[in-house]
Amino acid sequence: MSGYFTILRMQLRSRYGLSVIKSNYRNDKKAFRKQLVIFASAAFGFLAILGSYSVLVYEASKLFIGGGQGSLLLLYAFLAILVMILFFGLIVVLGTLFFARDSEFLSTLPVHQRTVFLSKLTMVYISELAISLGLLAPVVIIYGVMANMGVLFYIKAAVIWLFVPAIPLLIASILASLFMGFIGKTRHRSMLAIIGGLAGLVLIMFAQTSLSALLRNTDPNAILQALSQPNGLINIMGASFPPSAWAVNALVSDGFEGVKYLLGFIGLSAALFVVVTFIASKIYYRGALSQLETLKKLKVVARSAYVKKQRTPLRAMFVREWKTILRSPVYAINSLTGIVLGFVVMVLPLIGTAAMSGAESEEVFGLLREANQDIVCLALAGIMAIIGSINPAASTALSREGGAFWSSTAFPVAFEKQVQSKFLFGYSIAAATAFTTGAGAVVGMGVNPLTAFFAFLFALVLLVGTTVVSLEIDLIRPKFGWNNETEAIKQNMNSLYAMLLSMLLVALLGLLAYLLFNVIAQTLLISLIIVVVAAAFSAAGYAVLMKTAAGARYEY
Amino acid sequence: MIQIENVTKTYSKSKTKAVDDLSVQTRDGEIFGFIGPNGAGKTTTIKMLVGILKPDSGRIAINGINFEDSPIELKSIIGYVPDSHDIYDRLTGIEYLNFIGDIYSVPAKARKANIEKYLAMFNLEKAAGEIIRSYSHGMKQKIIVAAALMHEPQYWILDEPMTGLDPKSAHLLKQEMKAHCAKGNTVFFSTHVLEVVEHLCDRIGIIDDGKLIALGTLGELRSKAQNETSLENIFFKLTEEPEGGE
Repeated sequence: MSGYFTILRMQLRSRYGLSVIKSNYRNDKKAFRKQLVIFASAAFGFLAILGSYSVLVYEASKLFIGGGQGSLLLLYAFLAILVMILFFGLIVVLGTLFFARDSEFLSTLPVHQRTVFLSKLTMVYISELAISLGLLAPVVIIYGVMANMGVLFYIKAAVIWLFVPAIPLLIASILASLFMGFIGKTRHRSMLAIIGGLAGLVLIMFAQTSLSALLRNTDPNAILQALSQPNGLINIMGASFPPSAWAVNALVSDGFEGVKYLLGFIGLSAALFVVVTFIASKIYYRGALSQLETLKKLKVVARSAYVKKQRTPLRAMFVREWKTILRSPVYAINSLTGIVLGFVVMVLPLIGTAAMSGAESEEVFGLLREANQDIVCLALAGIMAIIGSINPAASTALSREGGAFWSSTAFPVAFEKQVQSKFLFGYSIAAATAFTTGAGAVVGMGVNPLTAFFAFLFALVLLVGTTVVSLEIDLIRPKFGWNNETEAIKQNMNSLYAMLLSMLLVALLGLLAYLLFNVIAQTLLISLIIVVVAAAFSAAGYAVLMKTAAGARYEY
Repeated sequence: MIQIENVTKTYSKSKTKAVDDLSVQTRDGEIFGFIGPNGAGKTTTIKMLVGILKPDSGRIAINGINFEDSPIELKSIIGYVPDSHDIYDRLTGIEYLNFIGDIYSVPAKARKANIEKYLAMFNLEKAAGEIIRSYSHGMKQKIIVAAALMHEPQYWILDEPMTGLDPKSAHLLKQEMKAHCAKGNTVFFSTHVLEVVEHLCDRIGIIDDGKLIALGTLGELRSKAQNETSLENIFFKLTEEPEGGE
C-alpha cells in the first residue's frame, strides 16, 4: 500500500504543480501572486458558471416538483454526469494511464503493475470527483431545500457522490485496458488507438441514444401509470443507464428500500473494481509499455527519397502540426472527436425518428424544410461554430509544443508566422468539423443542402473568430511543462476557457440576431448584418492575435 | 565573431544571477570551449546566444548582428544543438531533417547532400524512416546534431554536443568542428569532457556561479593556475572555493 500512496502523492504533486506553488510561496512571491491571480480568475469564472447553472436548476426544480416528478431532476443530473464521465473518462484514462511519459520510469520501480495502475486511476478519479461535485451539489441542495428533505438525504447524497465516478470510470478503464492490451502487440497500434478511441466515443453516444429511443417505444399505458405515482418515471427514464436510477432511488426512497439501492450502487462499483484490478494485474503494462516499443520492421528510406517536397516555413509548420496530431492517439482523439461527433450528433435524430411512423418522421423533417431558411441557416451556422470550436486544437496549440517550444524559438522564422501556422491548423480542424456537422444536418435532419452550404460559409467566417480567441488564450498562458500529452491537451484549462468564450461569442451573435428580429422584418438582411459583425470581429481578433504574437515573451 | 558584453541574466524564479556580467569575444576560425560546474551558467549563456533567452542587461552580437535589430537574420546563421532532446519526436528522422530544411530554406541540392552526409556519418541511414520517439538517447542526439548543421551555418553553438554519441560519431563530429573552423567559421560549445576541450579548443572559457573566472588558451590558463599541467587540475584549482571562503 505504501507504494500506492507514494506514487499517488507524486502524481498529484506533479499534476497540480503543488511543489511549484510551495516553492514559489517560499522563494518567488511575484510568481506566487501571479498564480493566485490566475487561480482567483479561474475561481471567479467557475463561480459565474456555477451561479448560472444553479439558476437553471432552480427554474427546472420548480417545474419538476410542481408536476409531482421532482426526483426526475435528480435523475437527469445523475444520468448526465454518469454518461459524461463514461464518455470523457475513456479519453482521460487512455491518456493518463496508457500514453503517459512516466510509464517507462514507473515500470522500473519495485511495485506491482496493479499498484501503478490503481494510483493513476485514483488520480483520475479525484479530478472526476471534483467535476461531479460541481455538477451535482447545486441539484442536490436546491432539490433538497425545495422538497424539504431531511439530513439523511444530504448524508446519502454525500455517500453517493463519493461513488458517482466509480461505475463509468471503471467501465471506461475496463474498455481501455482490454483495447490497449489487444492492440499492444499490433504493428500499427498508434493508428488503431486513434481509430478505436474515436469509434468507442461514437459507440457510447449511439448506444445511449438508441436506449433513449427505445424508451420512446415504451407502452403509453405504462407511462401513464408511472405518471400517476410520485417519481414514477425514474425507472423508465433511468433505464438508459440503470445506475443513475439506482442512485436516485437510493436518495429519495425511505428505509430499507433506499439502502437496497445504495448497496446496489456501491456493490456494482465494488464488483467493477475487482474486475478492473484483475485485468490491470495481468495486462496493464502490456498496453502501457507497448507504446515505447518498435515492432515495425525498420523502414529504410531510399536515398532518392531523402529530400521531400520543399515547402515554405509556414506550410512546413502546418504539415508538422497535422503529422504530430495524427501520430499521437491522445492528441488525435481530443482534437478530431468533433469532426466525427459533428456528423454523429446531427444524424442522431434519425435513430429517434426510426421509431416513429413514416408520417410522423416526415412531419418532423417537414418542419425544418418549411421553416424560414435564413433562420435555419443562421441557427445551423451557430451550431457548426459551437461544435467546431469545442476542440482543443487551437487552444492548446502552443502548450502542446512542451519543451520543443524553446528550440523552435531559435528558428529563423518570426513568431507571428509560427502562430499563423497554428491558427491555420486549428482553423482547418474547426472548418472540417463545421463541414461534417453540415453534412450530418443534411443527412440526419433533412436540412436543405443549399441552406447547409450557406450556413457552412457563414460558419467559416465565425470560426476565424472562435479560433483566434482560442489561440489567443494559449498565447497568453501556455502550459509548456507537462508529464504526459493528456495534461497538455485534456487537462489544460485553456481548452475550457476557449470553449466557454467561443460559446459566449456565438451566444452574443445569437442574441444580436434575436434583438434584430424585433426591429427588422427581413431575415436575409438580419443574416447579412450578423455575417458582417462576425467578419468584423474575426478580422479585428486576428489583428489582435498577431499583435500578441509580435510582443510575446515567455519565461524559460 | 561572437560578442558577449557585460551580459547578466536572472531568472524570475530565483534571486541569484544565473549569468553575472559575462563578457566573452570569440575569434573567427576558432573553436571555443565553454566549461564549468553544473549550474554554473553555461546553458543559460548558450540560450541567450541563440535567442531563446533575453539578457537582463548587456549586449550580444554575432557577426555584428544582434537579436533586437535582426533576429531572423541572426538565427539563420546559427546552428544550435540544445542540451535536451525536446524536439518534434512524432516525426520520422527524415521528416525532421526536411522540416528543418524547410524552416531554414535549404535548397534541394544542398539539402540532399547534407542529409546523405550526416545520415552516413552518424550511421542513421537505417533509422531515418522511423519515428524519432523510438530512437535511443544517442540516436536522438545524432539527429539533433545533423539537423543543426544541415543548413551549413557559419556559427555552431552546441550545448554538450558529445553527450550520448558513440566514440566513432564523437570523433567524426570533432573532425567536422575542426574542418568547419579551418574555413574561418566559429564553433562555441559547452561540455563536461575536459579531454575534448584540452585537445580540440583554441581557447577556453571557464564559468562558475555565473561569472567568467578564466579565459584564454590552454597555456594561458596553465600560467593562471600556477602551472598546473592538465586542464582537469586547472579546472579544479580555479573552480574550487578558497579555504574558509563563502
